[in-house]
Parts: sequence; C-alpha cells; structure tokens
Amino acid sequence: MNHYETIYIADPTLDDDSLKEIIDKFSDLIKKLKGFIVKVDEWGKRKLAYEVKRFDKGYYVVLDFYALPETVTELERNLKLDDQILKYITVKIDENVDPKDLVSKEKEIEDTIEESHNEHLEEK
Amino acid sequence: MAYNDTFNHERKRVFIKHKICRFCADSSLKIDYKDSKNLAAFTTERGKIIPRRISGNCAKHQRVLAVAIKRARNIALLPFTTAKIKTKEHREP
Repeated sequence: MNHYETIYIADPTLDDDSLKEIIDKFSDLIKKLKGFIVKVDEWGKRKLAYEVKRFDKGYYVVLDFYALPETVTELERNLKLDDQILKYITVKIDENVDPKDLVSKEKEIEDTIEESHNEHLEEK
Repeated sequence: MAYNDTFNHERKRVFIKHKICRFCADSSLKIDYKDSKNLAAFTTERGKIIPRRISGNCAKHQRVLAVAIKRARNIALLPFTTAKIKTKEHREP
C-alpha cells in the first residue's frame, strides 16, 4: 500500500450541493476500493494560472490517502470521465506502507501536534 | 601584479548570486509543489525556472525544486508562460 495525494479542480460554477456530491463521490470511491483517507482538504475557489476549458477559476480539492496502485488507476479513470473535473494530478508520497502501521502513525502525529501546542501555551 | 589585474578584471564580470543554497542553510524550508507562493520566488516574471547559477541552489535541491515547479504548472498553480494569447470570452461563474 502506498501513500498518495490527489489534487483535482472542479467546475467553479457548481453550487454547494453538487460540489459536496462530487467530493463525497470520490472519497467514497477510495473507501470502496479498500483505501484509507487521511484528509480531504478543500482549498475552495482559486484563480488558475492559465485557462483550463475556458475557465479562469477553479475549485481545488486535495485528497490525502493510502491505497493500492489499482485504486489510483480507477480513481483517475473516474476523474477523467467526469465533465465537472477540469484537471487532476496524483503524486506518490511514500511507498510500501503497512496499513497496520497507519493507525499508530496517525496517533504519533496527533501526539506531536498536541505536544507542540502545549509547548506554545507554556511559552505564552 | 599582472596576475592581480586580470583577476580583478574577471571578477567584475562575475554575475552577483546568492552563494548559499537556501534549502541547505535552513532545513525547515520544505519544497512542496502545493506551495505556489514560495515556488514562484524561483521563477522569472515570465514563468521560467531561475537557473542554479543565479539562484545559488545546490544541485540536489534544484532538481527537487524543478520537479515541484513542473507539478505546480500541471495543476494550474503556476503558469507555463505569461505570454497573453487571445482567446474567446471566459465562461462567467
């Protein structure tokens, strides 16, 4: 299992409900294909550096997840088919991660965040 | 003396550059393709990647940086070029 990150740009003219539908659709797809989603980060509407399909703005969504390579090909196929997605990119961050380690890793990250928080508070 | 003269003469022509790789000097700086603001600092106004001899980056970090900029271009965070091309009207949101 690998650690991936996918960014996709959705049509900015969509209303909130259909945007939510799209985001849920791709998150559910990963879960259905035995992937683990770490984070869904919505950047919101941003100006594009260049025109894509005649749009100069786009709705950015970042998916942070652990999955098998087959899951990614299936996800990218679905992103490609969707007319409301302007662009997407998938980057492999880490290779050969054991799903069993994930839970403990997430806890570690949470702990370190908490620790730094506490340190900040103490400093204040 | 003759040696010194040529040395000074040559020195005047040398391009002023940052001599230290910023990413080596400060290990807390991370190169991330999502961070378009910081990546833009390493591109020219036209959107080209600034060469190593000007920016002063080490070879290792310049390679990583180049990949990051190319990824950012792919997802429309950074421009490939800023030359304006006449296109039909935008679809208004």
